[in-house]
Amino acid sequence: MRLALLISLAAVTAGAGTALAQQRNAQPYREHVPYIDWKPDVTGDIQHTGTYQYWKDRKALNPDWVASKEHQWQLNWKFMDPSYDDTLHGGHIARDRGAALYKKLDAGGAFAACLGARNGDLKGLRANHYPQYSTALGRVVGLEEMIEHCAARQNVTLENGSYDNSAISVYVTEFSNGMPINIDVSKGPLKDAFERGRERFHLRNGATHFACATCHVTLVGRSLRGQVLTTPYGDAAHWPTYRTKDELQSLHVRFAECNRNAGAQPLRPGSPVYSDIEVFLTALSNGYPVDVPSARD
Amino acid sequence: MASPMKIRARMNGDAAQIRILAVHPMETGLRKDGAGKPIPAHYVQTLTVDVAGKRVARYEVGTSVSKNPLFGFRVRGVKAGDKVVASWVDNKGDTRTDEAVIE
Repeated sequence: MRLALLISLAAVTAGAGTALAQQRNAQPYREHVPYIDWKPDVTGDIQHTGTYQYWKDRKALNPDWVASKEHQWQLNWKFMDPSYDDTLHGGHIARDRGAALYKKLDAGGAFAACLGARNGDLKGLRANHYPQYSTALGRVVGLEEMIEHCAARQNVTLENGSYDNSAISVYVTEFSNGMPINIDVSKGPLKDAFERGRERFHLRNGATHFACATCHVTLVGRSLRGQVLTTPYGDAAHWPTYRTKDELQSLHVRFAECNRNAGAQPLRPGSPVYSDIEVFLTALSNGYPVDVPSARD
Repeated sequence: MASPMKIRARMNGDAAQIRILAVHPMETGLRKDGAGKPIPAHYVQTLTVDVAGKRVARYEVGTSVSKNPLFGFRVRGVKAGDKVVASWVDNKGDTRTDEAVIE
C-alpha cells in the first residue's frame, strides 16, 4: 500500500517535471531586470541622467556645449532638429516627396479620414494620437503602420519601413511640429503595450546578450561604435529622421538596425513587438515637442 | 525633368549664409544594378550661384560628390531681399535653375 502510494507520488512529480520542462521550452529563459521605475513622461530624465534641463528649451542650449564632443550627448542631439538648426538635408527632400504622395492618396479625402484626421486636418495628429489602438487592425499601431494600412485600402502598396512610407510619415508628422507629445498610457490597450514595451526594453537577447537598457540606461554617455549613447527620453519625438548613412529611417527601421548591431534577429517594421517598444519610447517623450524633419548622424 | 533645388539664404551678421540642396542621383558610372549591368554615369558638373545678378560662386562638381549634394557658403556685400539664383548642369546636358530671396 505504502509502496503503491510512493510510486503514484513519483509519477505525479515526474509528470509535473515534464510539464515544467515543456513550459520552459515554450518560453525560454531570458534575463529581464527592469531596474528603473519608468514614468511615462520626459521629465523622468531629471532623475536618470540629469540632462533634461540642457535640452528642454531653446534658450537652455549652451552654444559651447553644442560644439563640444563631450557634451553633445547631454543635449540629446536636439540641436540637429529643425527648430534649432536651419540647415538643409535629405529630410527636407523626403518631406516634399511625402507631400506629393499624400496629395495623390488623399485626393478624395478618404486617406486623411482613415488616418484619423478630422475634416482632413493633420494638425496634432502625430503628437496626440499616435501610436494608438486601431479598431480596424485590432492592435496597437504606429503612424507608419497606419499609413501602410490606409494606402492598401486604396490598392497602393506602401510597405512599412520603405522610403515612401516614411516620407509620408514625415509630412504628416510635420503638422505637429512644436506640439508636445501627449499619449495616454494609463489605461486600455496602450497601458498593456507600455508594460510589454517596458519589459522588452529590459529583455536581453542576441549574440551580444544586450537589452535596449544595457546601452541606453547603463552605458548612457559612453562611446559605442564611435557614437555616444543617449537617453531614451524625448527621442521618439523627432522620428522619422534623416540619417547620413541611410537616407530616411522610421523608428521601426532603427529598431531593426539596433537588433542587427547587437547580433539579434531583426523583426519586420510594424511587428507587434516593435509597436510595443514604440509606445514605451513615445510615452517617455510625453511633454517633449515634435520636431521633424530632423537629422542624426 | 529634374526636381527643384531647395535654397535657404539668411543674413547672419554682415554676411549671408547660403545653402543649396540639389536633388540629383549623382551616379558615378561604376555601380551595377541588380541584373549586373552598369548604371550609366549621371552627375552634376557645374553649379553656379548668382546674388543680385552678380556671380558669387562657381562649383566644379564631379563623381566624388554624394547623392543629393548640399552646397553652403557665406558671402559678404549682399543684403536681405537680394535674389539668389542657383543653376546646375549635369553630364547629360540637363539643367535646372531655381531662385530664392535672402531673408
